[in-house]
Amino acid sequence: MKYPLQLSVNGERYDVEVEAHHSLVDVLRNEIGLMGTKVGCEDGRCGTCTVILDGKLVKSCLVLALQANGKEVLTIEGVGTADNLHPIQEAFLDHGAVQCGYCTPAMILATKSLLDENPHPNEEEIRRALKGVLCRCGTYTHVTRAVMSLT
Amino acid sequence: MIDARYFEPTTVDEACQVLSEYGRGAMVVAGGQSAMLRLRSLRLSPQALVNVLNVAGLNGIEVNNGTGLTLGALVTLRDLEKSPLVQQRCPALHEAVSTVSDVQVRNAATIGGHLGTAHPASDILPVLIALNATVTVRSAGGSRTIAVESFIADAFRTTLEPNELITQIDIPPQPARTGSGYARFSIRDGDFPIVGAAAAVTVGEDGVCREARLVLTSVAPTPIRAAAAEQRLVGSTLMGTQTGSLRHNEEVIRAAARLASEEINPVGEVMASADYEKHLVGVLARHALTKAAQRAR
Repeated sequence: MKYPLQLSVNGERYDVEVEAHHSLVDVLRNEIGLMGTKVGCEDGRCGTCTVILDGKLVKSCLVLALQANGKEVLTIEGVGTADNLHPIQEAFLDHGAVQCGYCTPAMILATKSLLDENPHPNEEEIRRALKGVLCRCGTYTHVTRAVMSLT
Repeated sequence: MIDARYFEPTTVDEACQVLSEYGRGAMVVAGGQSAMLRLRSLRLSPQALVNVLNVAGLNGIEVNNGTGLTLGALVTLRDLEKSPLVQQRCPALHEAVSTVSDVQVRNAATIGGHLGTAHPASDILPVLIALNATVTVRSAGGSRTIAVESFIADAFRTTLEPNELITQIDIPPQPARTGSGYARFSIRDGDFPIVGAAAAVTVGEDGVCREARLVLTSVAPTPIRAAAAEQRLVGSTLMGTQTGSLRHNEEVIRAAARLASEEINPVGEVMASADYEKHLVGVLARHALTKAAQRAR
């Protein structure tokens, strides 16, 4: 059975139909076609599905799509574009914090969420705030330096 | 193949009605941090998915009876972490919540959902048990309030009936001069603890321990009390004045921690052998008891 879902993603409104058990990441990728949000572990651990939902950093694979009804989602596509990079994206590129890039959207959103709340975190606070995004390439040191450069 | 109906109740009564109708066929989804995983990993096929995030009246963190705390079931772990009330009145709970997982999980996970999940390595449950917390559940037929210690029946199992909804957790006012603390260890910050220890001690004006509760987590299917350690503490001088300053009695704490280590028999896990877990019980019990004793004023 399908249910209507209305949500705003990166400032644009979408009206879709979903089944009760679909997750938010299902909708972002498969219904709306925004591929920047990744599916990694399907187990709630890797964090590559991370988005900002109504201002809160969450793992979109663990959000029922219908729980996002009427809400605002920010994905990596809403942070910056190739022609108009967000300062966080600039810092990541400047510090070599992108290798395969799979975790990068989530790292950037986690960084944005941190800096929006605390513009001057110390290194421990940065590492703690980004703890929920795993990087198989091991860019943690570079990501941390990139974020420190923004504080 | 999941073919579930979706419900979005806005009141506790509405939610209970759906649960009455669907019983075991209903799956409550609050923060989703456990429910969404179970849905997939256990290949469940619920007939109804009940999103309870819009149920009114379950989001509060309030003082009860002067010094106790009442937590609505939908209070998120992040709310708890950031709450000045919790930091001031329940430092052990603040300590425990701050160690849980990552910010994404804490933003979504609810204290009600956490109770309902009954994870055997929960950081929060042992603190609630050490503080004699209760949980209130509602159903179409009424409500009941149970000690958290009794509510947690087994690993991932509570005494919640299929038609019941967790609505609030109450931490009662603690007796005067009660201090509590939590200590845990994991390989990485945010991992479930290999061992965790929650302690609450009540000390008389004479410095003698009147009550002690020491609860270990991740060493058994449910959080468990270290009864021999607790008994060692009661009646002992826990706080004494030395050179004019109030100092906790290290010797008594060490003796109690050693007893805890002897009486608890973990089975070991991937990250730690049974022996190592036993050793950790002693270390963490000592840390938790020290914090609790220092705060018992």
